[in-house]
Amino acid sequence: MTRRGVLGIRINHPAQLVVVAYGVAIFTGTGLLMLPIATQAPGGSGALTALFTSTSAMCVTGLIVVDTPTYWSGFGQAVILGLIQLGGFGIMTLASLAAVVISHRLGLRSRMLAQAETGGIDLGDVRRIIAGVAVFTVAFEVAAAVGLTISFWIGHDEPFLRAVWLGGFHAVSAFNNAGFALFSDNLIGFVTDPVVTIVIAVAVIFGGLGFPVWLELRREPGRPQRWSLHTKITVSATALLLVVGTVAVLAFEWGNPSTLGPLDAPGKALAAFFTGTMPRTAGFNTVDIATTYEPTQLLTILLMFIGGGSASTAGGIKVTTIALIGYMVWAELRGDPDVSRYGRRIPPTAQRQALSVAIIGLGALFTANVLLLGFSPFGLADTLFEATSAFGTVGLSTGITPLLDGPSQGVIIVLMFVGRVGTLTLGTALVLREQERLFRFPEERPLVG
Amino acid sequence: MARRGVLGIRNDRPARVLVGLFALVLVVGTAALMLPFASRAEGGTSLLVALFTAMSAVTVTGLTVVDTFDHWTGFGQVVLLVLFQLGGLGIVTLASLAGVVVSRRIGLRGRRVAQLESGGLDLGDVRRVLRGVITLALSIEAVLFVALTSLFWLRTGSSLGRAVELGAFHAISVFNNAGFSLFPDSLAPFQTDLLVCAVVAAGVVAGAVGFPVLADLRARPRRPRRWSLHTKLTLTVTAVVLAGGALVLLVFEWTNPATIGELDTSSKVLAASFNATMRTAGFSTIDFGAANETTQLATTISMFIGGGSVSAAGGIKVTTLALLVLAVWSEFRGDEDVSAFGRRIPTGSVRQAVAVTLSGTVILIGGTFLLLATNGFPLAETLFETTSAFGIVGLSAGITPQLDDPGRIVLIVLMALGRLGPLTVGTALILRERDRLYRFPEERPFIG
Repeated sequence: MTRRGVLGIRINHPAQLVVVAYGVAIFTGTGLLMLPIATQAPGGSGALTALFTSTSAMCVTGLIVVDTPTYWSGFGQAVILGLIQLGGFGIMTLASLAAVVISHRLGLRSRMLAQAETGGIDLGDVRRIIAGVAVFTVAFEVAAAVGLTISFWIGHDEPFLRAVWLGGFHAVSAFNNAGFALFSDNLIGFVTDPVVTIVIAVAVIFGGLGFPVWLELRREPGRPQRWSLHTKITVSATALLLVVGTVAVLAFEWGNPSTLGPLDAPGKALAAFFTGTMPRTAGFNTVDIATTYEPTQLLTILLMFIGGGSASTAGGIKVTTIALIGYMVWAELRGDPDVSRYGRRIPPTAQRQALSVAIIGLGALFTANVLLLGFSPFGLADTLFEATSAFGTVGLSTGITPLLDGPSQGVIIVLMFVGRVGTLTLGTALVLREQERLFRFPEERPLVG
Repeated sequence: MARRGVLGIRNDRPARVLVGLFALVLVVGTAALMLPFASRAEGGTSLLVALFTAMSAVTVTGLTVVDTFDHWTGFGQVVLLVLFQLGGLGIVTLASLAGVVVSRRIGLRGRRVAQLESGGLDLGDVRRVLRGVITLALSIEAVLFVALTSLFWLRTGSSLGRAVELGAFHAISVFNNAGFSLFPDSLAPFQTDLLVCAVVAAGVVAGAVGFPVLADLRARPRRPRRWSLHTKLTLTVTAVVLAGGALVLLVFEWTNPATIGELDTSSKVLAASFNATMRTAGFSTIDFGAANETTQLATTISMFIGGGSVSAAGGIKVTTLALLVLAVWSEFRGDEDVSAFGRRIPTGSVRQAVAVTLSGTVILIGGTFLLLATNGFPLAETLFETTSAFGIVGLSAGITPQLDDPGRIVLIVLMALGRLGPLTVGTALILRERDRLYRFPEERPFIG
């Protein structure tokens, strides 16, 4: 049953397409970064460093083993920028395409239902999706770049051209939720600068909502009641997580002399908002993560694991996944036979898919942790933070990444790749595997709890 | 609609009865432990230490802030013994009673199903349930008592009277998965003693699989095919978790001189298997505080999973885990139904499993946050301790005695929630199942 889909590519399994595309891009990027002109020091970088940086950029993670501004030359930085843009754009279009494929597939069985279900996305028109993603991307990035450039130019006395380069790089890095910065201390120097931090935080939040949500927000900006279930869940869960992150960071770090302690109250609020936003899932930091208290780190780990919206540049298991699991528990506690939210019933198969994505994510994270604990001399708090940051394609670090040995770096590389393409391909593959039942076994209920 | 049922207890609120009885036993136990002649120290025991110990005993956890043998007198030890016997046996009988109530509530068809699931226990008859559970528990404890008494008598060179004391205390502690021990380093002196280890491990596993399984096994010992789905799932997952835990322990501790590194190969295997089995009970022959962090992490996870339903063991229960794994598995296969061993598992059960797991995770993370904030121990050890309390296990990475008062209170609350939480939640969930009067239209958000 070989069906040819768009662009002549077999997208019977969109999963394969995603994996192959990302693999090819990462290896091309590695090759470019290994060129002698990519580094500032003569002789070029080692293969592992190049592979790590390429994967980190392509998977829009932001974990680094070498300092971006001092190690890579202008060419190397441009390559990284290109990879970030390609990685972010790629995941948004591929995820949106996968959604269309899924809708088609479901539509074969029940056309009316599929159209009702996918509401926000026009079926079939691949070019419109690519163009739409491109338009949104350019619009957001240009807006962010202008704001940042002006701030760097006027507020921080950078020469104009350098301000444009810095503004452009950080705008792309922020919108694609990458977290690469051209400052050796990331954004710690801008902790109390409201323009830079708020522009970057807003770009990160928008990047993390996802294409299907932008479409609907633009189409029906003032009428939330007409949004699709997906948009409602994504927007409300994102808002909730942002508030929880900000308030918790503020509460935990209020008196920490290494982070929020020395700042005045508005500065504390700003830094807490930024620090609470970045785990989902950008990886910029204005305070030194290594000096935050352990409760803050644990909270950050949870937020990084949850991540952002589907078909967005953010990573993690996605807010809709965790929301569905939350609704299941809520329905169970209320004793409802159906899981419903916002006047819509969520099919049991979708619930099981959410459960699968979450559990497989936990499994990958656990396996990587065991390996990291075995290879490296660091404690559980550090390895768990680093592994979750890689899996959620976040890029926050307590500072152990540059100190990792070869095998541990390999684990992180694999984890970034799995975190980026894994959840998407898994989610897609699971939907496409739904089968009709031919027979049923008799029911039996084991005891639970 | 106050229906008076068994023992004059209101039928529709089994969870409330459970909590009430539990609190009563706890208060009496704490008061008894605070009596001056319960402790060897001058002037008795402080309220918090007594409460911690009573909670640890009645929830059959086994975490201690004071050394059981050094601190408590014979009277205090008997109080502990009574508490964990009541806690262990009480909780399973009450859980069975809750099962009776549940089966009455869910109607004739449901009751037939419930009977099928509970194996030999006829849930329709309260007296037979109670008699069955108590007879089974006492007979297994009697066997353990005889075996352990003779072993302690032969191995430790103590007098027969002392051996009887040790045997009785440990037999009850073992079967109820309590983990209290009258030796200073738990069972470390018997690290290489095959017989003691085997008897204790067997007792712990018997206590941890749960009465429905024991009853099923007793009724049909040689016909595994006719066991209930519950029994099959419980035994399979228990075996997998035990084997996995032992393997991890063996591999990661092989060269650790502080744990099993200096033993010979067969003793290494024995120690690894024994300590992996203790994930519900809390006895140990190695120092988990000195273990590799990977071992601590793996042990944390197996403690969270816990034992079988309607048993003295804690955790989210092996069947809960099994249901989650089966749900993922059927998702991968693309099956519409979740099924195992030729039986379909209702969607409601899977959702209950998710609810139990997620509420457990939330409680555990909350407790870990509080313990991290109040006591600055590393994450691995903090998580180990909170999971041990929540899973009412009693293994310790060594930080419990060093905790300050707020930290101890966190563990006390975790033990209470760990003991009562999954059971009451599970029972309450079944009782709350409602019929649907209307349905919303379906809509599917994107996932992943």
